[in-house]
Amino acid sequence: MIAVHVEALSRRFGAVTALDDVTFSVPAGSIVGILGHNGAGKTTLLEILATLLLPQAGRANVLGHDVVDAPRALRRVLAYVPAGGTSFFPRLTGRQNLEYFAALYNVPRREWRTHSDAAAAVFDIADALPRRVDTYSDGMRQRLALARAWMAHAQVWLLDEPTRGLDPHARALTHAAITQQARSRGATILWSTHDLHEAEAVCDRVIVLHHGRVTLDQSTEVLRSQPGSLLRAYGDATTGGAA
Amino acid sequence: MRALGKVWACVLKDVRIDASYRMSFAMDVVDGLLMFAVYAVLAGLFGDRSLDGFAPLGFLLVGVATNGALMTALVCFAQAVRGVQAAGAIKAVIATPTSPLAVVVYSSVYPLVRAVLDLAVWLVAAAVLGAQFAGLTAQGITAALVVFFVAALSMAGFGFAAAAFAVVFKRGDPVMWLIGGASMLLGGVLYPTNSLPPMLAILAHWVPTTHALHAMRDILLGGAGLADVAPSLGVLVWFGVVGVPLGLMTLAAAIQYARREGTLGHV
Repeated sequence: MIAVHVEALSRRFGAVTALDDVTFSVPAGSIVGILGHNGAGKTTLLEILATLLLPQAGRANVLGHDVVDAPRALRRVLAYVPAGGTSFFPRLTGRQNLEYFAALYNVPRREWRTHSDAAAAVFDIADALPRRVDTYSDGMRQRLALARAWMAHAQVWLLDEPTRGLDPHARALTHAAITQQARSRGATILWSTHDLHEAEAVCDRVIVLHHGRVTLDQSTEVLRSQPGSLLRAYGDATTGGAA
Repeated sequence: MRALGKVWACVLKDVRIDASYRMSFAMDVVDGLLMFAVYAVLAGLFGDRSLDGFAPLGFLLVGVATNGALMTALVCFAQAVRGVQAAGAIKAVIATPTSPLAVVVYSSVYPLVRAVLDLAVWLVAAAVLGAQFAGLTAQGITAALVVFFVAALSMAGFGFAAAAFAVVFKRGDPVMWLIGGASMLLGGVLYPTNSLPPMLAILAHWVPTTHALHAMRDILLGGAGLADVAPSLGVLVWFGVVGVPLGLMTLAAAIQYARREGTLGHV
């Protein structure tokens, strides 16, 4: 079953081409790394799939829900973690933020607390929940954003640099928690990252974007069989050596 | 039931954010006291003259307090949008299964409840100062609440348009400027509308505040019932029935525009 299908997707911002004729499909239950330099189009791609941005050409759907025609149905199957972790009300505590978003994710009121606590425990942020978010470090905010996404119990996760700013311990926890989502719940993960080692370790497949175009779409199993090959392939894909 | 839970979540969020700004709350109280004193002194200047058949103190304080509460109904939707924009949470909110329009509507509940409480405090203070309220009965208060909520609805259409402006242009609010200014000039807040020049008096009929203030003064100061203010209430309902769907469509179009232009997350 195809969870995410993108076909000839294009998007420009003025004179800048963010996505140019991007096509790929992601089978349900897989973890796909979206790699590329800054400005390669990773965030644009995820924002279109999250229904926050409209494409100018092409089509995309998530579990059959078109990003243009059925955004509300699509948001019911989706969890989105924006880059940067600043997407919270800073004067509320971590728990108050999670409870607010639990309501927006249709969690019944009596379960806000248990869902928030469970989500926070998964990403090792439970101790900080009583504190206001404006006292959090970048890494703590990032973990809170992941906990918020976890509460959605979504079938498809769109993660925009989810481990940015995390220490090695939190990074390992995040890898484990997200991998578990994919393996035990059959969730599909699109994971944008700059970290090649992370992509190789966690993802089933990597898609490299360069100037808005897909320049590499390869299984990590193949890449792992030759040490250093992802680094070489990434280098080729981002310097015009691969297509 | 889910909708009620979401309303409650929005109210809790807003109460908690408000409570976290203690100094601002204290300043609001001081500001309210100062403004109350200004209008009380101003009423004294009118002496024994009546304004639209009512004593100046009651006329002014009901006008100013009701207009203040209606301005909340005008700005609360745009403030809800700006609140999530400023926090950087707008993308995270829109990516949830809850409709963005619903989030904006739910986020108006707390400011509106607070506006009603502020209005009540002003009226109680006015009564303590000697304003005569013939309508301060259970029936009168109920009628006044009905009028206020219908009047708030009549403002909501403009309020959604202001929220649409916030989605697209982020800052500046011509809707607030236009409707707020028209309310003060034409709505009969500080003086009766029959004292306006004829052309302005005609324009005054096109401002919801005019009808809301007529009804509120008739009920609270004159002891009128809902049936007595039915004409004013009818105009307010008309504003709401026409304005709310138009305003919601404008807001939905603004969100779609921001998705198309890629400016949803801009502050």
